[in-house]
Amino acid sequence: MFSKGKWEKVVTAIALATIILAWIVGYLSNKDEMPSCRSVIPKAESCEKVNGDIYEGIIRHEDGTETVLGWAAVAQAPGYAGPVKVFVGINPAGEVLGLRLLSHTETPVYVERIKEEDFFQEFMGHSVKSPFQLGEDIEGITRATLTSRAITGAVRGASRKIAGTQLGLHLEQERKKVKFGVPELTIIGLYIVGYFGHRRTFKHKKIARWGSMLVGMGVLGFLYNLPFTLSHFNSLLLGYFPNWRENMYWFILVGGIFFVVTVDNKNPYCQWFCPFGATQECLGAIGGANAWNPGRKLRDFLKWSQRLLAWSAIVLGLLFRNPSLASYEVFGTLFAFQGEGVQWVVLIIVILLSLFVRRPWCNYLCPIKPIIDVIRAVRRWTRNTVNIWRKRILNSIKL
Amino acid sequence: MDAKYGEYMAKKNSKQHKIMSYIVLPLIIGSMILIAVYQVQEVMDYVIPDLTPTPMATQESEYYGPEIKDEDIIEEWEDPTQTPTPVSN
Repeated sequence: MFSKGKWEKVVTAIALATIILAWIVGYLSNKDEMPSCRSVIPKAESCEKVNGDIYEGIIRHEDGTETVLGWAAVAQAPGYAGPVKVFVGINPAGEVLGLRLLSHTETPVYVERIKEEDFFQEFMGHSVKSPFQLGEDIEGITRATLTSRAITGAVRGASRKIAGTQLGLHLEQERKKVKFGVPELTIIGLYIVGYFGHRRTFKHKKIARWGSMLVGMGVLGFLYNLPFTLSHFNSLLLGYFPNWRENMYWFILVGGIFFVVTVDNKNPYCQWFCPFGATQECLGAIGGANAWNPGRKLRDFLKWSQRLLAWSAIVLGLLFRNPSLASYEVFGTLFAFQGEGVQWVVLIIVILLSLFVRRPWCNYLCPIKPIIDVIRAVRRWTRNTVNIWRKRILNSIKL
Repeated sequence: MDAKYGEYMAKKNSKQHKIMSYIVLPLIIGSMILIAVYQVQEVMDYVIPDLTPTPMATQESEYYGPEIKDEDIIEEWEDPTQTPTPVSN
């Protein structure tokens, strides 16, 4: 009935339609429930809404009088994979009384790490006048810095809200410094090398490629654990953008990939400096890995299975409005030694396969490849359609 | 000589390729199944957090703060008419 090319178009269109549908359903069905203020102001008998979204926790005495035990407010701050929302209780002396992490979309292992390290206890008793800054009055958790920063920012926001409205304090809004360091410089450098290295006329392609792969693996992988993941893509679809001043790397990485793929139809990231891809190539160089040709039918089956996994991770992420929910990459397992049982098993399989087969993760399992494929396909179809219509219009004008 | 060597190499490569396929294919498909199971597990943990001993840390409901006893509260703000002491700016 349909040719192979048409089937591909139909399936891709259905996949895109279900992604849009998942976004809409997720948006309509995920409304946060507001917890009682008693959850952060213990012993409060009742809670009353006093000022906007600020709640007052009170205790009633036998003689009918009341004592204010504190106020509670919700605030959120952009994390690495979406907003982190906290509920903070402040007592009348202006000290943090309790806090509750309401929701987040960060990678679960980082939040687990934060909980294990008793990070939340650091805030207890802090005055609303405290700066609430990592490295100043709050100590961040190593290898979960971005999540700790987001939680700290949210607690600061809630505290400032209560300080301003209930305690009559007008605290200055902190001006966030633009964070620009080694990861940002490295990624810009790698994009530049990738851009020029892709050119046919470039003479030292092999050296440049191996150089950028090793830098990518060392700096973006093992040193900072900042590879591009599916949750970046889901965050983009959900409109969860981290604070640009503190997460400039996020914008350079994500923006760079989509800009280059859309405008130039090139993918410098995967082949030139993806830390996990580079690790596989290094292992392949050690083991003498070759490209594996499974035959046309099997290759198609594996390609569509890979796409199915990526599609399900996107749909689930959008449906529950949680970018990293079904994200299954094993990058963090390798670079930060964090992961669950299944991820460790998959990582070991990939490492072993990499010794004999060229880039097994990239070719058969990675969810990024199907995304890039779709962007390229949409780009191609759009160009073709525009060209067809342009010709038609020009022909009709000539007639 | 060259043709024979080429034939020999082609046979050898084809044999190697077959062996590779027997090992590589099950491992790749196995990884795909594991990933699918992992996705289902993650979603189940998210929807019904109590299913596993370490629930996924989204939609938290734990309280982080000091344990407060009745006496602490009553003693601290004994006077019911007392207004909260504003913190000096």
